[in-house]
Formats: sequence, structure tokens, C-alpha cells
Amino acid sequence: MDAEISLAEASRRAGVSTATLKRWAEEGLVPVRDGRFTAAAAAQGRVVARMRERGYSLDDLREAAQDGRLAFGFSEELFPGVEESISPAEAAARTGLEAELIERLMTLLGTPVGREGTLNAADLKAMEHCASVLDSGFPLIAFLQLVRVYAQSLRKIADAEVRLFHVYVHEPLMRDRVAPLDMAGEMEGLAADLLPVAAPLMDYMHNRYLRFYIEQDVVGHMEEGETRTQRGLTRVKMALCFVDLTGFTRYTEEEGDEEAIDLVERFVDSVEATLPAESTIVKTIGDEVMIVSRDPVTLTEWAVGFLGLFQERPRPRVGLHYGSAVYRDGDYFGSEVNLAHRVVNRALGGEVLVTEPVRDAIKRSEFLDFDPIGEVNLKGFPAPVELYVVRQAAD
Amino acid sequence: MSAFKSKRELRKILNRVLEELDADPKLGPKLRAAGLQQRFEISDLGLVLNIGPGDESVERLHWKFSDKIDWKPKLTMKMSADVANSYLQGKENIAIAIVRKRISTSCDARAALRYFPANRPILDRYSEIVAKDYPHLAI
Repeated sequence: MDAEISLAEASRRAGVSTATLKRWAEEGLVPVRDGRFTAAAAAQGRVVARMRERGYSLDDLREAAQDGRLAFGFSEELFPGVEESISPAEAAARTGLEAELIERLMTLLGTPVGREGTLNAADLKAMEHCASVLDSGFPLIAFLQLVRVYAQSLRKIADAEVRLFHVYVHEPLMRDRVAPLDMAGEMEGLAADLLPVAAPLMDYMHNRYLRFYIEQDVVGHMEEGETRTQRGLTRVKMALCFVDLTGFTRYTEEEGDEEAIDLVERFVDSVEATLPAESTIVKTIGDEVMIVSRDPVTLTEWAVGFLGLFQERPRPRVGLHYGSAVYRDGDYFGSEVNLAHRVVNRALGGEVLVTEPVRDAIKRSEFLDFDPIGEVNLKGFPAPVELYVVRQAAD
Repeated sequence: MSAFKSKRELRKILNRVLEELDADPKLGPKLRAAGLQQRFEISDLGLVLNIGPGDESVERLHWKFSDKIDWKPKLTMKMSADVANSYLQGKENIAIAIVRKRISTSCDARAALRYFPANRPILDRYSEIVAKDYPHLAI
């Protein structure tokens, strides 16, 4: 159980006067047991103070406190506040980075100095790591992209962690009407158990993926297709593939959101479970999956085989193009990507539609048949594009 | 001639895979909950394995090495013994194997969505057993 702390200490931690904290406790805004303050109570006091600053009324907060909606004060204990305040100029002097670059990095990390004004000790430590990377000779242009990818990915991870914790831990406790103080204790205990394993788990996954992509890079070096744009961006020749579910909007209307989400999850799981090793899912947007591969042959074979598994609606469809895309921030851009996206929009359910470069790259296949459907006008492209339906070769 | 010494050897391994998974306190309930209704046909050995929906009341997964079953398979996979050995060790990409006619399937869409991810523990356990006790089958 949470150890008792003095009212003065609780008030210091909550950042409000002892009189205010005492009043909040009396009004049920802050959970105390037999009039005794604990770390969890102080943490909730801090949450109440913040919510007050955001304009929430005491009545709203009292109701939220009674439902246990404010019981996330445990995070205050897990992430102790950093009181040090360092200006960008001072950080520049201590790290050797230019103040402008520090501001740029902090903006990429989603904590613009402009918004918070200063850096804390953890920010400074991060800037020191950044300085070490740049000192080692890693190009700034590449490093900035890397920081952007780190920030975007980790922001998504943290958001998912908090949302899932809320849905699967906090809400069930609220539904069970667990007392706020017990709820806070339970959540703090679970979060304290989970947090230390998150970093090693991510480290493990990072190493695992790093190893895989280093191998892929070696394969890439053995093949042609990597060029530079005039502005120094990398262009890579890839098979660019989009897969989605036809009639998904109608399916959602008929079956409801939950059934549709379940379908999408299982659809994406199936793509992941069956995709050839050399192919990569770049992103998923709703029911749409973007995949790239250096090997147009196996990706096309996969697409035809994968679609063969789906005989009922909503059936997936695939659009494939083989061309040079600009690689930036972990994603692929450019007109060749847009073309692949347009191609999938022209495909019917259960159909794999490819462009001529895909057919040319595959040349002859004993497993695939290409049926030309003629030149097709695709939105945004000035000239018609020759498209082919690919099927499993007839016996 | 396949890598298996006999039809009996493959049947013995598959039976062990399913017995171990069924008894596994974590994977057993998951596999039963997946509601598999899957048929494997190993054409050159004349072996048929039907995995049926789990029975939660007795906490048992159903499987039979015959077609005398009281459920209808939702996913049928037909392949040779060598392809089966490769597929079960995760070395055969199912979609590509279908196109290359190494595996033939018939299924409904929902089964495909649910079964391929759900098959993962079967593949993992098969690989472990082969690596440990049947090294001549390891790929």
C-alpha cells in the first residue's frame, strides 16, 4: 500500500497550497484514506491542478474523480518531473550544436523549444546524443530524416500504449467501480511492471529489424536501380504495390464499424503472415496496404496467390507498378508511387492489375499469364497507361 | 521418394504437434478459439489430416487422420510430402506456393483471413520438433 506522506510534502508534489489540497481532499477531488495523504493522492492533486488550469470546473473534476477518471496520476511517479531549465543558447554551448539546429531537432521531436521555451535535463542529454552522432560523421540530412522517423514511430507507439492501457486496464477498473485510491495503486503497479520491459522489447525488435534490413541492403547493392535526384534524394527502383478490399465502405455500412475493423485487422494480419521475406509493408491506411519489394517477380506471384485465397466479398484487389520512387523518412514518394495507387483503383475485386514495367521485368513466367486490357486513362497522368490483368497460368 | 521415412512418420509428427499445442496452457486455448476447420491432404503419401473446431466444454482440439468427420472443412490444402515438410517449417510462402502449384487450396475468405495467422503455432511447433528429434527433415 502507498506510504503516508505529510500534507506539506503532498502539497509540494501537487504544486498547490496545503489549504487548497486539503479542501480538494474534503471535497472528494483527491482520494485520501482516513485523512492521510499518499503519493497517489498527491499525484492526483497535480492532475486536478492541471485540469483546473485548462478550465475544468470543480464540479466536473469531482465527478471525474469519483468515477476514477483522474486515477492516472501514477504517471507522475513513473516520469518524475525534471526541474532544470536550459535555454537553447546554453544547450548549444554545452553540446557544440548550433542553437538553430537544437530548435529544429526539438521541433522534429514534437517538443518545440518555441512552445516550451527551454530544454530540460533529459532534452539536453538527447541533444548530447545527437551531437555524438553528427560528430561521428553521419550526414546531417540523413540524421534529420532519421530523427523524424524515430519521432513519428515512437509517437505512434506511445499513443497506442496509452490508449490500449486506457481501454483494457483503466476502463474495466472504472466499470468495476474500484475505489479511486485502489484504482490508482493498481494502475501504478501494472504500469511500473510494464514500463521497464518496454525498452528492452523495443531494443530487441529494433535489432531484429536492423539485421533483416542490413541483409536486404546487401542484396540491394548487388542489384541496379539506386540513383540520386538533383537535390541529393535517393531514388530506388522498387516494385510498388497497393492492396485493398473492394466494397469495404459498403461492407462497413452493412456490418457495422466493429465488424469492419475486425476484418481489416485480420486482412492486414494475413498480408503480413503471407508476404515474401524480401517484401515490406510500408504503411496501412484503413483497408489499404502499401507494400514494396526489390523483386517484382515474387511480389506479383504473391499477389496472385494471395488473391486466390479470397473467394467471397469483400475481395481484395492489387495494383502493381515497377519504377523508381524517392525514398524519404521511411516512406516512398513520387509519380511512380502515385501511378501504382491509381492502378489499384482500376482493379476489380479479386484482380491483380499491373503496368507494363512489371510485365517486362517478369518477362516469361511459367506460373503467370498476362492479359492486356489496353491503354487506360488514369487520373493525374497525361498519357494512357498500358495495363495487364495477371492470373495464375492455365494448366 | 519424400524426405519422410514413411507416411507413419509424418502422421506421428503431426499428431505430436497437435497434442503438444492442445496441452499448452497458452497456445491450446488460442488454437481452439481460432475455430479451425482445416484439411491437409498429403497427396503422394495418401495422408489426410482434418483439424476441427475445438470443444471448449472438454477443452480439447479435434483432429482426425481421415475424412470421417462431422464438420465441414473451411480450408483445404493439398500438397506433396516434401512441400508439406517445407511449409510446416515456415519455408514455403503459401501465396507463392499456390501460384507455383505446389499447394492447392480451397477456402472461404473468412477462413483464409483467420487461419493463416492462426497456423503459425503449428508451424513453429513442427519446426521445433523436427529440429530436436527428426534432423533428417530439417530444412
